[in-house]
Amino acid sequence: MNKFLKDLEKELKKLKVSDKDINEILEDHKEMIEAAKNEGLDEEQIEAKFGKPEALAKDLQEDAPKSTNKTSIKLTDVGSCVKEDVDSFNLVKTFHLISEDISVNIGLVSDDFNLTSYDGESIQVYEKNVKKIEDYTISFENNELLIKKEKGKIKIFNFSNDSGEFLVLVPKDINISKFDYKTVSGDANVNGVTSKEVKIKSTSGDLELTNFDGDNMKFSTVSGDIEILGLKGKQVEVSLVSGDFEMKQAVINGSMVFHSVSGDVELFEVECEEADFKTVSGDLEGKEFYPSEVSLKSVSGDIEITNRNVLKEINVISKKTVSGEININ
Amino acid sequence: MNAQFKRGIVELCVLSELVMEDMYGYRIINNISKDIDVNENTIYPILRRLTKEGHFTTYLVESDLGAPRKYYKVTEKGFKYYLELRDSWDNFIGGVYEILNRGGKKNEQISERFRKRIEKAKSE
Repeated sequence: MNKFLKDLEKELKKLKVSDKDINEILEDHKEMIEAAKNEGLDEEQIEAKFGKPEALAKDLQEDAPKSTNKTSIKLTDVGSCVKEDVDSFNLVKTFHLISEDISVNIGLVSDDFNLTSYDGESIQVYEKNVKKIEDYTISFENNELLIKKEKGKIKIFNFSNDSGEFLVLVPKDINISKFDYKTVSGDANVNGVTSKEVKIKSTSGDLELTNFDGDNMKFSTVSGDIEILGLKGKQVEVSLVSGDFEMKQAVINGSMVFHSVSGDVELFEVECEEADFKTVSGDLEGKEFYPSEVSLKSVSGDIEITNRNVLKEINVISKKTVSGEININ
Repeated sequence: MNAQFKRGIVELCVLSELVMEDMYGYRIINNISKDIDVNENTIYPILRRLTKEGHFTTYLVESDLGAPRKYYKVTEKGFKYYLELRDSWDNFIGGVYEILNRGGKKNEQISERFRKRIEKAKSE
């Protein structure tokens, strides 16, 4: 049966299956052929049972039809954003760019969404476990990338959890003039992107943003949490109900405005001009947080800032609160 | 049989086998090929795809006879998928039999009915 394995390897190589996959497939077959031998099957019987290597290679490819047009890409800047291998995603569409300025418009319900920059020249949209890809509009027209779940087709009775995941790769140097993202329960990961205008709206989905460069940014969630690591921006507006907001290493050349009902805000190594915190019971905790001015309006929510550099002055411009406090140490 | 159709049915069978117990690749192939005419090159790609899609996980078990064997195990997701698939299969196959049985259940019945119809057409 060594010939079978050799032929299978040859066929898989012809079909440009990755070395890793080939190795796995060959290992599995060695094991299965051995098991067949152990049960007393002779060469002929085994041959009949395993069929032709060409047919198997073809079936392997056909049975994973989406992976056949997968291009092998090298991601240098995926970072923590895409935790899993890009190889586990299937390429849906590739769009070629005419201009360096694009807008991105994403409207999903329960699917997770990843956007990251990479060392390539086209926009690539991948999916994983998305059940009915035909229910989505995925297009690139007038420099606008649109990924949208068609509303009319959402099932009311979802028998099983059928949410999948999208991954969008955009060229590293691209400028996103407008980034609009809406979801109900899907989580989002966005990494290494420059965008002038950012609007993110989520009901319960969490959001993770890393290495982001944005001018005007608006975040709004009900119960979803927001985590930002590495941000350069001009204006940040955050609206939370019960979701929490966490930001590390950010430089904002303008104001940060927070509206929260009970969601907490945590800032670490953040610089900005004014910081305005309006809340019912949420707290704002800042470590190495250097706003030039700060104001608080709350029922019971506090602002607590602990900084090492005491020479940088923080002015309290207004404080309206029932039982909340502002502590700057 | 249409390849796509066959694949769908075999997928259901593979799921059903693994819902019963964890098994290694060859055992699954053996169990299924006992009852339906299908060979390794249909089953293995399905095992592989369903594993990649998170319906199965795998683990190795030492074997007395040579190399360790890769066992396949249904995940929670795979189980839900099986129930869903089985449901649509039952509906589909139920519908098919609804149609087929209109013309009779047994071959004799079907033949008799057909013969009568031909005769009737001739006499008219």
